[in-house]
Amino acid sequence: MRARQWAWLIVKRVLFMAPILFGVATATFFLTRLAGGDPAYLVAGSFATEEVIASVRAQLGTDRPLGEQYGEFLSDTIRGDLGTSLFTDRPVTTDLADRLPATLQLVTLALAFSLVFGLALGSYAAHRRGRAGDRAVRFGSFSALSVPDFWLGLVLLFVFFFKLDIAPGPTGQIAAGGPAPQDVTGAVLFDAMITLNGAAFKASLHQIWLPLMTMVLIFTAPIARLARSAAIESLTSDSILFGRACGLSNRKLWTYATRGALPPVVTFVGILFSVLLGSAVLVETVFSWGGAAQYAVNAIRQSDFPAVQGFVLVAGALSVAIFFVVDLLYRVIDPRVRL
Amino acid sequence: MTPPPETDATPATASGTAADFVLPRHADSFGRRLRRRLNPPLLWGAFIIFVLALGAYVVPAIWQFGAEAANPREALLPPSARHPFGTDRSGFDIFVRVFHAPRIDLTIVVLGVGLGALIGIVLGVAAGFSRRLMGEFSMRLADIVQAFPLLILAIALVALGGNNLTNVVFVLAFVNAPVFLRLVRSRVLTVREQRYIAAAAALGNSTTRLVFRHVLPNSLGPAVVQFGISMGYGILTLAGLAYLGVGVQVPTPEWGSMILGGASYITTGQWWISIFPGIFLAIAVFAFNLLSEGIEQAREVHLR
Amino acid sequence: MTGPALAVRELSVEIAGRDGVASVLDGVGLALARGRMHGLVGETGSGKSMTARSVIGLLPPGGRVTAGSVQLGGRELLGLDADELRELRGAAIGMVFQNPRTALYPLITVETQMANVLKAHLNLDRRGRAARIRERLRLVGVDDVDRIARSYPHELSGGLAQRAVIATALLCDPEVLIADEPTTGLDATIQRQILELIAFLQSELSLSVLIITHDLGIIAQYCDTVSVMHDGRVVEDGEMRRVLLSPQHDYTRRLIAASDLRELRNERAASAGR
Repeated sequence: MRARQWAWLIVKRVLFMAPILFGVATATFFLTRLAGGDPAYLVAGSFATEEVIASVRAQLGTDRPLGEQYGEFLSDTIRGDLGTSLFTDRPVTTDLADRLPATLQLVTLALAFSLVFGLALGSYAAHRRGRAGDRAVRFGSFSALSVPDFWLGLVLLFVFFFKLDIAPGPTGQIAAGGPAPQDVTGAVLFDAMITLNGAAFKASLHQIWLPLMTMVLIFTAPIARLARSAAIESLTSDSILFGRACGLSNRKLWTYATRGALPPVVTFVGILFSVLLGSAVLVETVFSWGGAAQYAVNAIRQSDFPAVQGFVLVAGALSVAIFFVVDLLYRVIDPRVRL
Repeated sequence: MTPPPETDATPATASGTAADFVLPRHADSFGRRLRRRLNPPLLWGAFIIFVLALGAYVVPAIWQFGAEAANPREALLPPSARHPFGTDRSGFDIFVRVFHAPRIDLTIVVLGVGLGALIGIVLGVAAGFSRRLMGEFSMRLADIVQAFPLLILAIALVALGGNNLTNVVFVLAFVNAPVFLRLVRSRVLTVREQRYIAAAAALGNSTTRLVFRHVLPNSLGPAVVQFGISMGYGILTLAGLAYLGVGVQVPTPEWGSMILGGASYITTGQWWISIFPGIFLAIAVFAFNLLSEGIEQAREVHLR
Repeated sequence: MTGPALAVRELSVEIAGRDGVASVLDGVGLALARGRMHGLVGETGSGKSMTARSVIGLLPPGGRVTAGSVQLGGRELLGLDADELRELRGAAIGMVFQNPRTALYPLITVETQMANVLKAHLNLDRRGRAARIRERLRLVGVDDVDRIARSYPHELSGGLAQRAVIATALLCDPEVLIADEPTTGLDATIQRQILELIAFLQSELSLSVLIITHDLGIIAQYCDTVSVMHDGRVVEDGEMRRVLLSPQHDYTRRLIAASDLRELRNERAASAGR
């Protein structure tokens, strides 16, 4: 009974997602065209002759009418063809598939840790409301929101790599000459885990902790702030007062309040994921992480037009997919909006 | 005597009639209301921004080195009395450049976010008032724009659209407009249902007059708060773009591009090149966050 | 019968707020006789709820008892530590608030939250808890016990939710039930049902009930004794009929004049005379 309702809900949500994905694809196409004018100039460079530009146009297909290009872009995209990278000369889809797992691993882990720390700090602050602990959390999270992530990455590199020498330099997922696991997904830590390669796991953990810490230090802050206000709202709610009046233990009341703070936090996770993807662009660059985000940055620097377009499209689609998951998760947590 | 906050029962006083609890508020002198509104975050935020803006003109004017005066013979010097924040690889004096930076940072972000806010507010009022097609359409458009990770969209647009500062302004406007659109629209939808709007309409006010005299002023509060937040985030975005080599270029003194200039030296120990611009960048963002927090608090005083 | 079930003497409470300390209760006293219903009446802000919350030790933030005594069956409650108070709440004193739909915790089922209360006080196994929960729900007049137990609070009507709240408050057989405006926020017809239910439970379980209300009609219909509060003080108390029929204090008279009690009585007198 319930299972069927859930299945129906998922179908409905997927159907709802389709037009948004279509919109995302359309927006990607027109934004990159309108912003760029004629990508052929970008690709060919400022000193290219007319003939070169014409041949680049033919290669990119930008010599044809916009409507025709749009139609072909859509049908290609549906078939999973995002064009060929002008720089690596490989399909953009393949390039992204190789590198996306590394980015997703970093982003997902950062999200998970930020959530855990943010919820803990936020509900701690709510319980110590107005006292020193609360003020420390509030000031700390307020300040962390002002810190640029890429700069924090550099500061951490200076402290932990140059000064203390307990972290690796900006060498990416695998240290030069270090143990590497068999390449399954491209997310090294994950690959090491599923291939049960202990040495590689340890090595990749060593590689990831600094970039991870950079992101977690910053993105714990908004979650802590949100969780704090949500927990305060739920702590001062009638149901907590009634729970107290029924003699529930503080521990139980604490779980009530924390759980009550979850729904708004979960909603926020959808937004945060998309912000983290953006942050990954900078953090990957700082640490030479070699994921999809850094690939996109290089593509932009080299005017690799199809690669940029492909990455923007994939990032948009990923955000939409995350919203879909968050929406379902919300329904699991809060029975009031269920089905 | 005023009632304490957060009690479900109003406390009793010697003459606890309803008038006691209402009158003092109106009896507040203008000065007292102003003092209550000028809370510490508001004042500190405004003060720091003022100092940064002032310093951007005063420090370069009196300092012995120019902001764009390269001196290869004094490259990569650590902080000293001569160069308090050290020098970078071209021998630029980091101290003067860090102070000079708000000229470009604040200008571009104010223009970009301001334009975005303007577009968002106009569309938001329109969307809130004509709930039908126009409203739906602009909301779905905002949905789609906001589906993209903001920074990635900004980078791609600037990189593809032409790597110049005008484009950075437009891109900042473009990514911020949906935020203001959403905010203002939802406020307008609430405000337009209020009694006083109906009353004003019943008195024969034209729609234009209604919008400008009544709905707009009462819908702008959250947008003003958002402006502070967007400014802070805009500065971070601008610096992030510059760090990736998009937007502001060397040798223009800008915090993000200065951090980029020192990035490769951080692993060899020349920390000052990146650290000082980052500290100033963080302070500027912090100031705008403070300001918006302060405006929020001032609004609460007003609403209470 | 020895002494009252609940006795409050010379209770004074202060609340520290942004603008200094305000006195909210000033020498409040009341006695709730065993197996009776005592009404606490007064306008909003007179200190009724504050009195109730002092009794169970749940003053709002900044609140502090400065003087007085609260005795439950002869045992002094003021000065008990947090754990001792927690054990009393729900076990010896049950409390019911207004707005039942927000009083229940929204994210778990009625049964789960009732079980949490049972776990806090009694050492029952799973089956024992389920049986106890169903027995209490039946007692408060819920027909479809299993379905209600499995429901989430938002799925219940206001009346059903308040029944569930009362069942929760009575899970561990308290001697005293404090009902703080138990019918505020409910439909008029439901209000009556809930009041009848409380009266029924009072006689069925020989509960001592302290009912807090601003509605003199409720006092007249259900209470044995009454205290009238104004400005953090009890201005008049005593046997219900005596207080309502021959009020001594000016404030009581004004309260009666402002209510529809007189019309009610006149109507009754008229119908009785006819």
